[in-house]
Amino acid sequence: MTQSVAVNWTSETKQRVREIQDGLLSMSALAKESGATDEQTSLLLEPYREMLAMLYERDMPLAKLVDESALLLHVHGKFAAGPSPRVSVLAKLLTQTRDQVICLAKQLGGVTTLRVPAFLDTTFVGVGGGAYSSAFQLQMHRKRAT
Amino acid sequence: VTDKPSPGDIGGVLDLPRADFARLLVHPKALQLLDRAAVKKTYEVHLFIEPPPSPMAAFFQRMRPEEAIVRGVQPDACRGILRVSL
Repeated sequence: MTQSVAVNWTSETKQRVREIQDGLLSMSALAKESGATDEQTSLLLEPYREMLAMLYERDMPLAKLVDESALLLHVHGKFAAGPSPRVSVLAKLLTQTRDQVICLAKQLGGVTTLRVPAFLDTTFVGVGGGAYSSAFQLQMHRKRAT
Repeated sequence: VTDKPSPGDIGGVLDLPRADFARLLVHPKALQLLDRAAVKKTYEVHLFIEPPPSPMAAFFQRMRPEEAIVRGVQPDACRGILRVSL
């Protein structure tokens, strides 16, 4: 699946972090004024801490990838699941994607040589993981080599 | 709300006025209600207790980047939630 970048995902995710941080501070004050025990306070604050961990560990890295890339591959399946995909799966996906992107770019650009021009080469930006999917990024050089 | 026929992750927010928190905390079963793992195990719902306006309710209306990308929507897109008055 491809996704064009029209909005800033990182700033949106940072806003969510601020909202949860505000919620944690508010709940902390409320627990204190309500006479909560240490155990009760810990239980009341736990959801906010979990949300913050999820935002920092999963959502923020993916948001940065989307903002920094021109092409996003979103892959489902058991071999792509988990925080780190298998190297063999990643290598195959990157190779296939690079070949297809270059083939299309060569056709659009009227490039007939077998060798891939430097300006058509791709840059790997990163990998973002999820519970059931992984994301891979490729970015084309924007400037034609002279 | 979701389009999944059997959603495995259901979140609920109990809007509890600030003045009632002190009463909740001295209830004999307060710890059972605050223990989200126990509530999830018994009722299959992630329960959050907050005074309105609830940050968690606002959070649940937002889609996570991973889900928004799959659905092809912008990161500021919102989902619907249900309000139940008892």
